[in-house]
Amino acid sequence: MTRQIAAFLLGETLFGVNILLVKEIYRHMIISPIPDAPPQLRGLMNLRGRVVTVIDLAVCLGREPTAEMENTRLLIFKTQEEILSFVNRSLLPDIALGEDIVGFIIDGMDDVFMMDDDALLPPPPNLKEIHEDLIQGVVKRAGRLVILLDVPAVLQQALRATHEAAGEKKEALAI
Amino acid sequence: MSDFDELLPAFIEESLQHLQAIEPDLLLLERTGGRAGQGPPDKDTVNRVFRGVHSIKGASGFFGFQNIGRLSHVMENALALLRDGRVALSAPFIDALLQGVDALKTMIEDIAGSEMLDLSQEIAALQRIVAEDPTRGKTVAVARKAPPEGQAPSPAAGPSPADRFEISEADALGFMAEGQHLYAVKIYLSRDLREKAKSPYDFINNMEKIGRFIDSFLDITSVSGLGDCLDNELAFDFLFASRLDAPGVAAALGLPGDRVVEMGMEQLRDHEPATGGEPAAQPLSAPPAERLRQHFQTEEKIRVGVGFLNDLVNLAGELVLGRNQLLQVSMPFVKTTAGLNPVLQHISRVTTEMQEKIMQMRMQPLSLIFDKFQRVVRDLARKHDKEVRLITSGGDVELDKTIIEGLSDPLTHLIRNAVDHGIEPPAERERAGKPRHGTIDLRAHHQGGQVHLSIRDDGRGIDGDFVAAKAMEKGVITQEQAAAMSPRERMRLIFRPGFSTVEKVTDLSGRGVGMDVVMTNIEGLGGTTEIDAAPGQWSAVTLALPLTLAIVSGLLIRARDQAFILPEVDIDELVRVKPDEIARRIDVVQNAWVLRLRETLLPLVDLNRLLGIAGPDDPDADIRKRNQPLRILIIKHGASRFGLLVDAIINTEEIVVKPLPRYLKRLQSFSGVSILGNGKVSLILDVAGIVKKAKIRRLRDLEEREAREAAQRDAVSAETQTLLLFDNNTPERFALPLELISRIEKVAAARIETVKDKRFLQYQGRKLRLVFLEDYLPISRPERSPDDTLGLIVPKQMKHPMGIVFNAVINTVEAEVTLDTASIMAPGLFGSTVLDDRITLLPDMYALFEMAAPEWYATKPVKTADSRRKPRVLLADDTPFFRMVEKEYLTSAGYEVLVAENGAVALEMLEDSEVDAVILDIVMPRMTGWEAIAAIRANERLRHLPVMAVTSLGNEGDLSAMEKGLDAGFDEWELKLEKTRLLDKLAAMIRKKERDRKK
Repeated sequence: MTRQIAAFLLGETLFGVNILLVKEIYRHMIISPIPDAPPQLRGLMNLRGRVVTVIDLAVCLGREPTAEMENTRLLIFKTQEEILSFVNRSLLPDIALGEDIVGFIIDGMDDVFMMDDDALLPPPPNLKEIHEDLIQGVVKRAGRLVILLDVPAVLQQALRATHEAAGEKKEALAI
Repeated sequence: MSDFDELLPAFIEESLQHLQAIEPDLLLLERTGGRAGQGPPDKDTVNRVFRGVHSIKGASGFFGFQNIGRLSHVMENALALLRDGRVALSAPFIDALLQGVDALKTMIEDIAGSEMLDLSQEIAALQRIVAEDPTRGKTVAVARKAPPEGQAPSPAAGPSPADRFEISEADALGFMAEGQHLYAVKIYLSRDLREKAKSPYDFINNMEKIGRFIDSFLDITSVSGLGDCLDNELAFDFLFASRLDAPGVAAALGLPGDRVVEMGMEQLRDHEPATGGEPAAQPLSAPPAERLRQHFQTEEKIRVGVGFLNDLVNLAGELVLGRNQLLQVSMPFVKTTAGLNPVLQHISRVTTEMQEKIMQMRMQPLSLIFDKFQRVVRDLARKHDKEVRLITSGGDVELDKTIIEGLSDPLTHLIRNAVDHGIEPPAERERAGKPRHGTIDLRAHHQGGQVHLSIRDDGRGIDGDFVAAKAMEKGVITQEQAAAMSPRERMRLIFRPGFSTVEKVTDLSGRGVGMDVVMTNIEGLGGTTEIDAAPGQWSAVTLALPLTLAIVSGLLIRARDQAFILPEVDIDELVRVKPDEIARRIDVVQNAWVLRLRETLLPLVDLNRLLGIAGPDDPDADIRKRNQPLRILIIKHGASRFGLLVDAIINTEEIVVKPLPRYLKRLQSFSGVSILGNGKVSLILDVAGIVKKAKIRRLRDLEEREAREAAQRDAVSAETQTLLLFDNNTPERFALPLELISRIEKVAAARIETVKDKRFLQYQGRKLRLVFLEDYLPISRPERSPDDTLGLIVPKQMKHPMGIVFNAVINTVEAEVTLDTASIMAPGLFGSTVLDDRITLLPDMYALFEMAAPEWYATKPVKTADSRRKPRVLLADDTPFFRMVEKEYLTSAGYEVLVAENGAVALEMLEDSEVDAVILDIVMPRMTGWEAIAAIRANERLRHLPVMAVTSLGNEGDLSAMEKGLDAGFDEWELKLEKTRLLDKLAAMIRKKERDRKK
């Protein structure tokens, strides 16, 4: 089976996600920060009347938080409901995207390409900086390595981070 | 309104719901079990379909819809065969059933025409299936019973078993073999259903709980004409199988015992068998449904999915948002563009209206849940041998569907509690002098943009002490905590997790939800819970709920550079504390900020710190060091109140509430999100979460305790004062503080001597100058004659002897004087107040004296060394009246006056403010004048301050109090309340201190 991959840049690294998961790419973000939230949650954004939870992908992948937002983009994903038709036609596995719209902060889009499932390789050992649970594998593309992200796993990690943050803060408040 | 009109819509609605569920189940059966070699059909699915059809059959019996009953009966038979594995699932079988479902749907949607539909095809198809049953044949029999001949059927005549029941002999024997009895049960539509607000399905479902409903039949004999059919007692006979005995069945169904008659095989067989497996299609007379044709027209309705509706609600929200943005953007062009404004207004109006209509679609009446409580109460009362009546009102009040759904469980629990724990057994009630039957009053009404729901019972109430004792036993609170609690706080303990006032958990209260869950549920709906009770008399729980969760009126506030929303319903008031008031009004109690609001202390939460956006080394961290005015929202949450300190208040906005993304759900402080008019996403603050996060409850206890202690102390020297009420032989009434009066005399008018325009009285060897009120105040002039006996008030503390003339003393009253200085005001008056329900004027004696004898009493403006600023005096007095009067005196003499309600407040103010002198009352709550002077003299910075006591302690000439005062450190001791002496002494005291300091 083949799938279409949307590749994007985060720092110098090339990542990819199944394009069927992508709702749109957004610029000019006006983000309202969320007090008390962990750094993974950058804030909330208005996308034509719907609320998008903006996730700092860099933090999720164990890097420094995105400092400069000027030239970043937001990679916005579909919701569970929106991918349902693809799942029903077996174009996508039944994955947990959740009912909320989320977006990843990225540095820019690269190209879109087709790949065969056979072309998916296990992550090389030099990728240790990124937790392997968050990666489906890698694929070679025009001499470059594209890391395929496991989007639900990244979302799950962000969710866990907020739960931990909420747990810690509970006792930390004294006037 | 007839029984049909009320019950039919519910029947149609519920039947369609059943059919809607049946169809996919049939399809599922076909997919999974219908193909050859795939094993038996799924049992659960078959049972589900069976029950659905069964219910439709039963309910249709109530209305005499024979066609519906007949078809569903045949379908049921076919399904029973499938269920018992007597026929195999086949495609024709499913076809036949689906055809049946379609036909049922057609009939139910056009109920008035249902009897006209030709069902021969559908029934024949199903009959063919049933015919495949190998065990069929000899076993199918129909028992039939005719009404007793010549006996006029009357509704009250007890059971008149049905005209015909159908049951196969095998089934009947099967039931009996299982130990079940067969009963003929008679139901009256009006008495048994409508008056108890039950739908036919409620009744059938209830039956199914205790046994199995087999067949029903409309008792045609009870209907004599159209009028009867619509308005009179329609009766139905049910054949019913149950393991219970006859009285048990009657009790469970809520029917009198004589309506349930056991049917043995003999009774069933007694009558001629039917001609086939199918009931006779020809009724005794035309079926009522047919006669209903013209009468009843189903209102045209479209069924819309809730999901679709929610989309519509969201879109309407977006439209409102777009409208707001449009208005904002186009505002600058309104003046320059002709015709723009009407268009904008039109769009605005239409949008609002459309949004309201769409929101209304989600609104449902509370009667949806109220109705079922009749039944709950009845059953519970019966079970506990209690007599309980439930009265409901406000069932037509509408709330958002989500809220209605969320209310069902907590309300059920509260009702159960009322029956179970609230209402006493009848005998106990009689002993207590109450009516045997208890009453539960369930009410709903609109109040201030919310819906208030109260559940009140006249039972044994709640004993706060008992609750507290139990709470201590269970370790919920400590003894000290209990001792410090107010009665209502003790009652509220039942909302604490893990608390139940009943030792032995009965099956009623032990259903999983305690009062704490009730409270949590209600909070989850954005509501609050209150409890109140009088032991032995009544108890009441009041819930306040928002109308809808989707749109709220919110206050936009700023914390740092971000806007947040606080729902307006949570806000009690807005308070602004000016920089020079901060020191006095903000305090630290037990390491927590508190705000002094009027006479209470409220916990104060700094929003920036709560949200963690303040930063640990924030220069503003110490609220008391801020030099900007503080903006504080007073938040009401249940019984507790607290202050929320915010950076700025922006404005109010109607906001569309969107659910919190799941990533934010664990952050306690927020309840939802919204998109503002400027397009930015803003978080909605959750008051319940803030209370938890800031641990407000503990602060609240503390605050209440303080307030209570203060109240106890205040009780001694309260803000009440004793007033002399008198009149002037005119309709007006007057009052003067007794503390200001030295003596009251009666004098003969003839003794008054006039010198020029002044009048005098020889009094204790002196010439007393007399003041007649009517000469100086805008009041009626009395008739005076030399034969009168007049009253004379001689004030305390007179430098020059003067007296006020009046007619007669009415009374002396103890009262808390709220002085009105606005409605009636004139020179010589302090103002007016209401005493004994009458408007009463309070003359200002010293102002009167000043008017009468300016040469004696004129106020000399004060002078200080520093002529650039006014001398500043701190005045502490607990009585508002005196505080006001003294302040007035001082201000008129050119002083700047700071006021404090007691010594403690005065000392706090002294810490932060420079003053030239202090005036202290002696008897004050919280800190007396004695304590205050000791503290001042002990303080290095304050100890040289000139301090004067102004008190009503001690009498004129009694020097012991004064000596004690001077010993304690007061510079001056003055009795209340003579203006000139007060001012003279104050000025002298300040001058002396100044001289001392210069030396």
